[in-house]
Amino acid sequence: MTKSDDDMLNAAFADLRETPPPASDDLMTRVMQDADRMLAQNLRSRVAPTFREMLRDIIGGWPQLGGLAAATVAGVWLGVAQPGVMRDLSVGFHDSTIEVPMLDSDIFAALEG
Amino acid sequence: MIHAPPDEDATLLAAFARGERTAALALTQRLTPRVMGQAFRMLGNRAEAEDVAQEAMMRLWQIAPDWDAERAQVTTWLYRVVANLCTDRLRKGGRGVALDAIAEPEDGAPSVAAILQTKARVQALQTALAQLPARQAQAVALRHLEELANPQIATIMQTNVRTVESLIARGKRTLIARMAGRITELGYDDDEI
Repeated sequence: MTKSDDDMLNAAFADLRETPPPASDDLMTRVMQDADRMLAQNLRSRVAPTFREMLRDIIGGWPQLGGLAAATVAGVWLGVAQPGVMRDLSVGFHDSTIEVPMLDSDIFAALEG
Repeated sequence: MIHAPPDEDATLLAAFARGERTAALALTQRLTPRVMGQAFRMLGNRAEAEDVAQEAMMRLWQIAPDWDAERAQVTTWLYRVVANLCTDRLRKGGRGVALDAIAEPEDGAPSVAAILQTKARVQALQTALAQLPARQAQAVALRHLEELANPQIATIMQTNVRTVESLIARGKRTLIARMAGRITELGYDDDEI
């Protein structure tokens, strides 16, 4: 690279450096709009409760949720599986006559004096 | 443009991360023109440079909560982001100089012929710069367009000074070779250098 070549290149760089970079108000506005979106997004993530916090407030936490889940499973099982104990308990309620004993007439006699 | 003390940008960025909008305003005013200038000098196209500038600032907003002021300066990080975004665009090709991006002179300023010659020189250099390998283009641009020192360029490019010097030397040799045939056409032989 000769001195004249280097000088030519340096002159070219100088031309480019002196070229005023266009800066528009529109660009500045767009950059601030992006900043505002990030600010809003960061604020939401700081304020919004996490799922864990919501669970703790409503149910009482994971142990309580475990009990609730167990009860739910048991109910589903009882309804679907119809284990033998349930069938035994239902005897007398289906296709049978139940006699209901009346009150003892002596009780009424006593009331009548 | 007056550059602020080295730690002020990081202080403002931390304030932004805490939700202070005034910090975002200050950073936008201080950094966007500088970022835009660097992108425009590398790309030579107003619209593309604005896209790069907006993308670079968006990345700054996103990294704010995780910014470590001990590891780097904000301006160093931005130089790197803009340089990489620009070289990505140059690789994709299809860019050229928007000649209308160069401001028209006021009365008493250089003639139309001189203006056109300047525009032609700028376009020739940017075309040649765009054809360099990415790392050479980045090194040459940071040294001769942004006028940064080699140690700072080494930090930005995450390499050492010796590599930077080699990249710049090779890049300039290629630029000379590409522009040599146009010295007379571009009027460089008439210049008083």
